[in-house]
Amino acid sequence: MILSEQPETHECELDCNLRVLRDLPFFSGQPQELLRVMAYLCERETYAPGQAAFEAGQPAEGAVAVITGTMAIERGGRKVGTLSTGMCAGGLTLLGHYRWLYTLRAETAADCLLLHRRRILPQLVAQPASLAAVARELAESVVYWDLQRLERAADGDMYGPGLL
Amino acid sequence: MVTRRTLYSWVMEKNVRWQLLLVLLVVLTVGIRVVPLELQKRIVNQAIGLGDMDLLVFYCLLFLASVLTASILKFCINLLQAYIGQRTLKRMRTSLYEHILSLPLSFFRNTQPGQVINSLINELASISGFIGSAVSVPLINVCTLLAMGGYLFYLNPLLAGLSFVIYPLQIVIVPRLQKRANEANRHRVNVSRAISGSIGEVITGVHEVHGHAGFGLENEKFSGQAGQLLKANVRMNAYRYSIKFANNFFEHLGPFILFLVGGSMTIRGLFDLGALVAFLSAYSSLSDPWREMMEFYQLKEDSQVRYRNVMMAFDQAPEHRLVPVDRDIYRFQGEIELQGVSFRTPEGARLIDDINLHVRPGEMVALVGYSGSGKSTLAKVVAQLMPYTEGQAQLDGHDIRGLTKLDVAENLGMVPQHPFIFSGTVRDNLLYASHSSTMNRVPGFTPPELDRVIEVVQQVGLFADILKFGSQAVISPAEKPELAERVLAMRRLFRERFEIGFQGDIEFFDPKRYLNFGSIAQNIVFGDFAERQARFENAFSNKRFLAFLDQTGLERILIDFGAVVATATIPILRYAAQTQELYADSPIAREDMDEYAQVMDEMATRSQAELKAASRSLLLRLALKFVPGRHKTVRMPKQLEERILLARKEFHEYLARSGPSTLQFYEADRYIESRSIRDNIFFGQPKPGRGGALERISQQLIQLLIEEGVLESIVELGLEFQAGSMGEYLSGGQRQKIALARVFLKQPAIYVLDEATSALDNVSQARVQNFLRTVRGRHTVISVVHRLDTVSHYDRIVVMKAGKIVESGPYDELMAAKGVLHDLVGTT
Repeated sequence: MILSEQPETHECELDCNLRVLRDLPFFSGQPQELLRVMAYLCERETYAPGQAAFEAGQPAEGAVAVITGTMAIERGGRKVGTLSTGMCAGGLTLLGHYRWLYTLRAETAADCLLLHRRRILPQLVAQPASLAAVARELAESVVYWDLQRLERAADGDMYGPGLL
Repeated sequence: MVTRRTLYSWVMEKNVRWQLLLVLLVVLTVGIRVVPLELQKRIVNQAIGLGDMDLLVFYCLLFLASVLTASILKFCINLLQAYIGQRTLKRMRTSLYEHILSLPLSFFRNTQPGQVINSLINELASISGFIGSAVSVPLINVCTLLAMGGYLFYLNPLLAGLSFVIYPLQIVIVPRLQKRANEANRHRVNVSRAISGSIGEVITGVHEVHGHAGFGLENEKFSGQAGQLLKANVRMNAYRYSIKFANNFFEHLGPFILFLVGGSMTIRGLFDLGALVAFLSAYSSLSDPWREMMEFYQLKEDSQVRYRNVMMAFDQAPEHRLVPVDRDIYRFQGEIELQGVSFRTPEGARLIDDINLHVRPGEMVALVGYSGSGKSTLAKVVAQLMPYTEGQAQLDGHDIRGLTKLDVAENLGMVPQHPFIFSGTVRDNLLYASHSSTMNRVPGFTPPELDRVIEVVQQVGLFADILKFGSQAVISPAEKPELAERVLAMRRLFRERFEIGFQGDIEFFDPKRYLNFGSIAQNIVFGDFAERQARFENAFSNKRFLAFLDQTGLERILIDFGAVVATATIPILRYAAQTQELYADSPIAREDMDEYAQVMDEMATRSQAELKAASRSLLLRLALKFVPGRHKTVRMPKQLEERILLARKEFHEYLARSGPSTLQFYEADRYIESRSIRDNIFFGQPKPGRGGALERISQQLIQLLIEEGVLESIVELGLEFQAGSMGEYLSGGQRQKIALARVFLKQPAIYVLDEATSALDNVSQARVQNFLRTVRGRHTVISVVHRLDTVSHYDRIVVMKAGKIVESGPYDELMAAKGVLHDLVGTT
């Protein structure tokens, strides 16, 4: 029998997606079954160098996690950051509607995982404990960003109070 | 106004000759019906009594002829009644629909589409029966009753008087019951309308129901309303059957009185037996017309209730005339003048407050501000879509409130943020305004030529979409042999130039290579059915195909693989919240889940060889549907791939041996009928998940189409693309581009764009902005803008806050002043 003759040494796309999701802070505490569902619902997209995954001002409809390669974060035509393997852009898009504040463009050939809100959010909503865990993780991120902001303000780089 | 008309006003209008014909037919029928009675008498007295066989045959044939004639006449009467009823119903519906379309937009904000549909289609339908019989039924039955009544009085006035005593009683009781039935019917109509509205609402917003898994919630709501409808129907039917009961009872009360009184008179010798029998016979002939009258009365009452309810629901006057009377349509320069304009909601909230704004003809004005600042309301006031409540708003010196709809439509083009797309082709949608102008006989209007359509389509960035639609069209080479020939020529050129460059983006058909984006079945067959309607899934139950799998031993291997796919996929699908998205890329359809779940249960207790035939068939089907590039739960084993490639060759030989087939194999020099033009040019299929691949390929494809001189043919095919119900086959951006092109084709003096480019990508947005720059000075533009990086080239920026204009001036001036616009730009 062909199937039994061949040992399955290569992982399938679902297992690879699962590995990527498990490493994302948003989903790190989620149950295995839900993570498998989300891995099933993700989409793979490959970008050639120079190709934009999304552009500033476009409606943000999902998060982008980099599996391999490097993506440049651009604002006003200027590179302001880098997204490399294992990093994720747009985690908040899973919960709410907004427009991208920056353009994400492949610097090298990049293999990405797309987490569409329309696919992922209903699964989280169906499991309130999981949704709460994602919300907790997001709140911690916001606290962290605010702290960074306030620290920069102390150096005189910016003005105004923090978010919290 | 149509809603103020009475039900009876429809009965004779445009129906006089038909109603007269109906009356004539009825009179004839009544006359003909007397003939059999007379013939009966003659058959008994003359033919049988005198023993004349010839006369008997003659009278019997006459009897047959009169019965047949009466039946034919009755058929004609029924047909004519139905025709009168239906043609009147059509006029009633058309007039009401025209009225509904002219109602203010505020009416539609408060009315569910389902309510309108229910009223127009269901509630009015039963009225046609009444219209058809409104003249003939009462006329003929009253005449018959009078004649029969007179005859009874002629026979015996006392008995006749007694037998008629019950009718006044019936006339008193039945209308009272009918009054209650009417009330119950009114309530039923209201409940029915509410439930129709709810269904319409849920269907319109079904994506939200799916998105929030609100199935239980909606089912519960519906169940409650269905319960109310049940109660209303039961109540109404109870009254209806009460009326029926009363009618039946009174109908049989007559003979009771006749037997009692007539019988006692006969016993006492006051009335002879023969006369009593004759009287009873004559009396029984009264019951039919009387019953028909009662039924007609019920029908009339029921129809009037429905009619009044329907008309009352739409009894509002249109805010504006539709077309100008005694003058031509205005032709504006594009000047807009608002003085102290406010809009107050019925609850008293001011959405815009004391707006003073003068826009010169040809000026480009951007309306900006925070969310809820009144920008869209102001745009809608200018476009006559919301009636301002205070101040004065004018277009070229004419008060907006006094303009007809046609004046505004011909001089102003509005594009909302979420434009509506009608079902039909892209061309129909693009030319909607043009078709409308043609139908309204707008003086000097000529429909745009194809070149003009293409020009505008390019201006809004829709050209690539149209080409995509066109290149995805499936054509028949028999119907378009020249185009098919060109496509094959392009296939050769495309291969020569791009086979290596697009290796990563396109999966080219190669008999020696496995198709990762094709199912296992497609990989074995390596072809398609020649008939366009044939579904590839038919192969799964094709006897020859299944016999081949069996003979080659592939069936066992594939069932084995199907079991692997099921084991890896079903637990995920079972655990997940059941959404449409979950099954979008699933090898198992939602409706098949129960069956596969049973197979899983069976697999837990039996070996695969012991599985039921139906279960083995399901697993085989699952394997045949498996697409390695799409179904991610299992990796396709390399050895299985190699076995399938071997089977591909074997299958072709097998099919050639086993007789003719409708399958068409992929051959490099043959047009594939079931595939799109694009796939035929590629001789392959684009790989999904390749960011920007389609754009890269499209550029080369367009170049090829131009070189081969088929660009126009493809555009024509693209314009015929079906947009689907409410544009479901179009993206948000494509919908906006079509709406923009629709208005730009119209070339009105004023463009009002309400966040009309919000769903467009940056390139298309830039195109539209460039186009607007080219019309500056010739067309006035008022544009509600959310993205402030696109406003710097406007002549003037009007900044709104809390319903008021707080700043107005050129972009550079406002930014230098560091006011609200400066803050807005800083925060976005």
